[in-house]
This record gives sequence, structure tokens and C-alpha cells, in this order.
Amino acid sequence: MIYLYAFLFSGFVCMLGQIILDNTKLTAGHITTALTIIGAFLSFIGVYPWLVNHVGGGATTLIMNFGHLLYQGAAEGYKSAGLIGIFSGMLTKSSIAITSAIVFSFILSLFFNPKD
Amino acid sequence: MASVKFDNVYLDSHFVIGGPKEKNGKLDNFDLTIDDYYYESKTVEQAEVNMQKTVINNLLSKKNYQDTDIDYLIGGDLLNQICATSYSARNFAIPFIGVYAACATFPLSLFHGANLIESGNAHNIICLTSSHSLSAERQYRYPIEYGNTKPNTATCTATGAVGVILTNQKTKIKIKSATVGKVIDMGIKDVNHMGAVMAPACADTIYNHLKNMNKTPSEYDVILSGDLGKVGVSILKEYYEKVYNQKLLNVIDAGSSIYLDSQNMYAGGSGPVCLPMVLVCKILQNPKYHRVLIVGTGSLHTPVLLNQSETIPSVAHAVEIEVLS
Amino acid sequence: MGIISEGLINLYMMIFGYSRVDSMSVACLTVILITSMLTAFGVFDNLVEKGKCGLIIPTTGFAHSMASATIDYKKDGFIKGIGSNAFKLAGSAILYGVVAAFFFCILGVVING
Repeated sequence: MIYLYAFLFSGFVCMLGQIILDNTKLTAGHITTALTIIGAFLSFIGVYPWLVNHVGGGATTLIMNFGHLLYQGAAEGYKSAGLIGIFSGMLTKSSIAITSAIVFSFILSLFFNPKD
Repeated sequence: MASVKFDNVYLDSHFVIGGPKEKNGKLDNFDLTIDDYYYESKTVEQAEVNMQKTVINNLLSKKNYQDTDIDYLIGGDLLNQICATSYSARNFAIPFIGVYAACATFPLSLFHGANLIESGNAHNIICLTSSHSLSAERQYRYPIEYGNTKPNTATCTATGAVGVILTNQKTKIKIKSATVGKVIDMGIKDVNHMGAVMAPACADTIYNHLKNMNKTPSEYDVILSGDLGKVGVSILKEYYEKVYNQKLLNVIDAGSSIYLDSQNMYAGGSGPVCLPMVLVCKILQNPKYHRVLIVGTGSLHTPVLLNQSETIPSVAHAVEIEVLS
Repeated sequence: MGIISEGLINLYMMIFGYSRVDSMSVACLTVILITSMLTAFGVFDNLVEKGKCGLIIPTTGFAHSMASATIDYKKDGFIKGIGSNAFKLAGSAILYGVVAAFFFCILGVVING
């Protein structure tokens, strides 16, 4: 069942993004940034964790999840270390995405050239 | 007055290089085609320089000329500081005039060349231009590998380089007149809709040329526009009829004449090389075209000002060519 | 588009051998690795043309923008090229994501005392 929900949810968000991309002057950069902020917001109001439980991979593979991880990291940091914890905890959960993207991009750039 | 008549200016030789996609498109008669966007160079920008260098070398050897036989080298391209042209010019001991009018660079360089020859201040001039799909993409849009989605009104930069020799020696191809256009800004900010941006400037220049030369559109076998694209050409015809009350029936757009539909190039090709490429490979090869009006259409935008929410100005330059039989 | 995301979810579920939290991380890593490699091979930009938002909005979009930027600017050198331009496209999402999460956190502190 979770497969179906995952499919529907991510398909829905992507479709929404596609509609915005086709009909407004907003670029892909605008949309991904907006979705990251929305993800952080949904995490803040407690909706995103619920989404992850019910929709599984459908919610974790989207860029909204990135915003969600940022917020969760900051919130947990606050719980354990107060105000400073927001700063120290922010990037902890999203580290895997950022670090892997940086490392893989760099290594690959050493070996590949742009083609068309 | 923006239009100048010429009596003593002729087009002697030409050399055309086409890129990988252009080779497989609608055009034939390339002097040289390249299979690889890097053309024996390390980067795509250096490849564009290399293409231009090849064009100039071949033009010189076609006529057995030395550098000293050419009075001026006039050219431009899309890259910052017109670097492709400047860096190719450094290989030759020819006085260099760099010009920029985006995709209207070729007719603008013909205008300057023709004036110098007509006034007796020069005998032989090389006019050239180039564009490269990947170097333009890097500069104006996104990294080459980035999957940027484009709407159907967008055009794709063509890859190639074209050079011609203008001379005061009589040949079959005569440059009869030229009109320099005004910069027109219709308040459009959308880089994916260049047809709409450039069509009004194109119409304005065509109208002024016809008015100054006292001609009607039907007195030309073909009006070849630069790179309005499929969408832009229909906008041009509509706009011209609405604003000037005349029909333009014999318009061919160079950008739309390069690629096959199956190559999926959206609304067609763009770039300064489109106009001369189609002129040389198609129009001049076809004996049915005697009186030709080429109108280069250039969009004078820069990413810097575009990001500051400025609109896109555009300019069009026209050159009248007669193919004598 | 939705089909692409389903494929990604299958991957996630496949690595279920680990704990749920760990498998999410590994799935994320795998997605980024595959996306970067497909970008390097020059294939991904053609896929994006077909899949459009379906490939831009998931983490694939993020990895693709970073990989394409680093590969493109490699010729400009390590510092001036890759170093300055790696985050050209992705930077926006990271910057505003962090800023937004920060403000929401502060808001949460203020509201909850």
C-alpha cells in the first residue's frame, strides 16, 4: 500500500512543480528552493514526519525532505544544547545528501568532460 | 539616413563550417563539417576560436592570398568580449575590427566592409562570424550537462563558422545596399521567446530599408531573416501586416531552415552563424534566387542586466544582395 | 514522472536489510551516486528533457545540478572553476533551506517558550 501512496504523493508534487514551471516565469531553481522552504515549514508544523510514515520513500526522495531534515536537525540541536544547538545541529541530518553530492561530483569531474 | 547604396562591392569567396547537428540537418554544401564539439581543442570556447581560424586560413588559401592582401578583418561572435573572434584574429596580421550585434553581427560586418570598399579605402575585406552551441549555453544559460527544460518557443544555438571575402573586383554576387537598424525594446523579459523579442526590430528595419530604397517586398525573390525561429516568423508576418499594412510573403527564416524536425531543436536554430550559413549553403546555391534581402536579427541581452529584471532590446540589420547571372 | 519516483522508492525498500533510518540514508546516497554518474555520462540531461519535473524535484535534481556544474567548470581549474561554481545551481536551495529552517526553529522556541 505504501508503494501506491509513495507513487501518488511524489507524482502529485512533481506534477504541481511541472504546472508551475510551464505556466509561470519561475525557473527550476525557484521551484526547488520554494519546495525546500515548504519542506522545512511542514516539518515545523509536524506534518512532514506524518507524511514520511505514511508515504515513505515518496516523501524522502523529494527536495522537500531536505528542508525537513534541516529543520529536524536544528530542532534536535535546540533540545540538546539550547540556542547554540540550532547552529550545531542544522546540517547533521542532511549531511549525507550534501557530502555525497559534493564528493561524487568532484570525483566524477576529474574524469569526465561535458558533452552535449 | 540609415540606408547606404553600393556600386562597387562584390562577394568573392566564402567558407562554411557546420557542426555535428547542422551536418545532419537540412543543409548541404558545407565546406567543412566537424563531428565533435571540441574540434581538436581543450575547451568549447577554444573550439570556436579554432573554427574561425580554419575559416580565415581557408579563405586566404582559396585565393592564394597572404595576410597583407586583406585590408581589414571584420567579425564578431556571441562570447564575452567577442573573444572567439579576437583570439582567432591574433593569428593573422590583418587589421581587426570587432563588431557585436548578437545574431545580426554578419550583416553589420558586411555593412562596415562594404562602406570601406565603396569609399576606396579598402580592396579586400574578410567578414566572418561564428557561434557554438555549447559555449553559448555555458555563457548565457546553464552548465552544458544540466538538463534545462525549454519551452517550445525557445531556439537552440547553432554551431558553425562562416567567412566571406568582400572585394571591389567584379564577381557574380553584388552587395547593392544595406540598412542599419535601430534598437527596439518591446519590454519582453523572456529569454525563451526570442522570436517575439526580435520580430518588431526585424519589421522596423525591413520597412525602413524598403522605404529608403523605394521598393516593395515582392521586388525581392526572398527575404532571409536570421533566427526568428518558427514562432518568430509568424509573429513577424502578423506584426508587419498590422503595423505597416503590407504582406511579407517571401520570408524564409534561416534558423528554421537548418534542422530537421526529427532533430528536436524546438523552434529552430539561433546564433550569428545561422544567417550566413543558410545564405551560403542554400540561397546562393539555388539559381532561382537573384534579388535577396538578408535581415540579421540580434537580441542584445546580457545575463547580468536580465537578472536585474531588465527587458531585452533587439536590433536588426539588412543587406541587399544581387546574384547576377 | 511518478514512475520515476516509484523506481526510487523500490530502491529504498530494497535496502531494507538495515534499519529503517539507515536504509533511508543509504537510499539517498545511492540516488545521488547514480544521478551524478548519469550526469557525467551525458545521459541525464536527455532524461530530464523527457521526465522534466519528475527528475528535477527529487534529490536527483539536486545531485544533477551539482554534478553538471562541477564537470562543466573543471577546465577553469580547481579553485576558480570547480571551487567557485560547484554550488552555482544548488546553492539557492541550501541557502534558503537553512535560513528557513533557522527561522522556523526560532519561531518554535518563541511559541513554545
